[in-house]
Amino acid sequence: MKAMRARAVVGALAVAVFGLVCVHAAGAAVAGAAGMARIAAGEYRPLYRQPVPGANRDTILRRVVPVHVAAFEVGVHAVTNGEYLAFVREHPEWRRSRVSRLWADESYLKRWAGDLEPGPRAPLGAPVVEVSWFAARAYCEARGERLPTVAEWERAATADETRRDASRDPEFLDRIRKFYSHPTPDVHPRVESTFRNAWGVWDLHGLVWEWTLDFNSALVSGESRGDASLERGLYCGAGASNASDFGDYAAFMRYAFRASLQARYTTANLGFRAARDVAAPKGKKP
Amino acid sequence: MSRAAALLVAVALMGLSAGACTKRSERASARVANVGGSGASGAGEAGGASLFEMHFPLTDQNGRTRHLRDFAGQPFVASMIYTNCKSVCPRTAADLKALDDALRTTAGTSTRFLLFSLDPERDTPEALRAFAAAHDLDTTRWTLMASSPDDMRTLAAVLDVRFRPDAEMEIAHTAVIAICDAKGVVRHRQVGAADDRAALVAAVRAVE
Repeated sequence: MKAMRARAVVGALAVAVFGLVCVHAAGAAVAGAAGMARIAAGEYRPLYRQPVPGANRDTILRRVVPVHVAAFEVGVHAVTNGEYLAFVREHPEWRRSRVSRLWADESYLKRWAGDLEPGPRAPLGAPVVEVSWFAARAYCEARGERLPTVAEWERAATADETRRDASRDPEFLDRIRKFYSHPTPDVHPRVESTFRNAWGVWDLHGLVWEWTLDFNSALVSGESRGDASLERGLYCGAGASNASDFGDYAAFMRYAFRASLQARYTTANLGFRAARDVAAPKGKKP
Repeated sequence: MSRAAALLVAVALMGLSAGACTKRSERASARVANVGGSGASGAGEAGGASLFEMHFPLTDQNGRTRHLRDFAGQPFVASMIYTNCKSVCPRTAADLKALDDALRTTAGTSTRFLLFSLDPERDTPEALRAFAAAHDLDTTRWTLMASSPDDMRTLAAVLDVRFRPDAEMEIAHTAVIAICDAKGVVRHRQVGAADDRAALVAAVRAVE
């Protein structure tokens, strides 16, 4: 009961902060909870191939297996410094001076002026960065939410301003690729400053990189099954010879970026946004 | 490694990946650099923090509730497996068993072996017990445990085990062996085959 009240407080604070920092009305989002956009069920075509049994069980083929993505809701913008401040006020163990090195490395919230003071390099309306995966997950869990999966994030991110799936448009892909070549600014612009896609979701490309729940599903060092030789399994694994679509260079960059991360890492251009199941009952799962 | 350089790493990885299998050795060294290699150089893995800071409950092969801190006071070797695994996990278990044998026959050992399930929904105590029996693991010193799926995700993240359930109900994953001191700090971490027994024995002796 106490935990529920705490969550309600966090929620109320977050809503207040959201109201303060957002120029664009939350009502602009398509159907979904406040600050969330609903993404309809659909398919995500992963970058990697998976081992699947051939016609006879002795042969293993590798092919892209489309992933069904159930309907879900995702934050219309990345979590801001203001929203994260509300979280660390409520959860002192996530303040910069107190966080365990198990959960975040030394550069956690480094740009903040103090434990409870984002300061000039972390404007309240800008996306929070220098947060670890553990921290991002804890933030979401405190609100009864979770991080989006890679499949969910990628599905939401294939939309441009007008089309839900722009993934076959070379111009769109080129635009994304160009975003990635921009150097990280010392102070990030506010959220909702790049573009709002057809789902009503802002800044999936062009603001900061974002954590996903299963970022560590990219087995760049290889898979550990399906091959007679472990070595072959390790170094010829997903993401190398098995990538499904080299045309989508930007998707490949995201794949490689996630593969380079560890859950404790914090960097100046990596933030996150929350997501949740559509059918989930309110509140945190046990 | 500077965190701001993560993108550079990503680009480097891509460059390496593009060469596919012919770049095998380079990819291997990139991976070792990425995981930080041996923890002998100082703070250790996982930021030098103790795994005992994880407070979630686990269920062992006897159906008993355990916590990581229950294993404080003695060094341990940790790995993540799932009992339906057909290739790597049996080999990991066999390699760790051989390590255990080597430790016992040389100078004796106080080191324990902890195997954590990557497949908590299917790895019931019965399944864990059957796995231990199949591999002839001495369960007075080996403990096989499963947690909730959420807590499994936390543990995999802490140990930097990469995993991805596939369409065939298998779980592709990296084989990670973490050697921890009596305080629960990871002092040595290895990804891949566990067949360099001398290195593993030395790493265990260093924490005993």
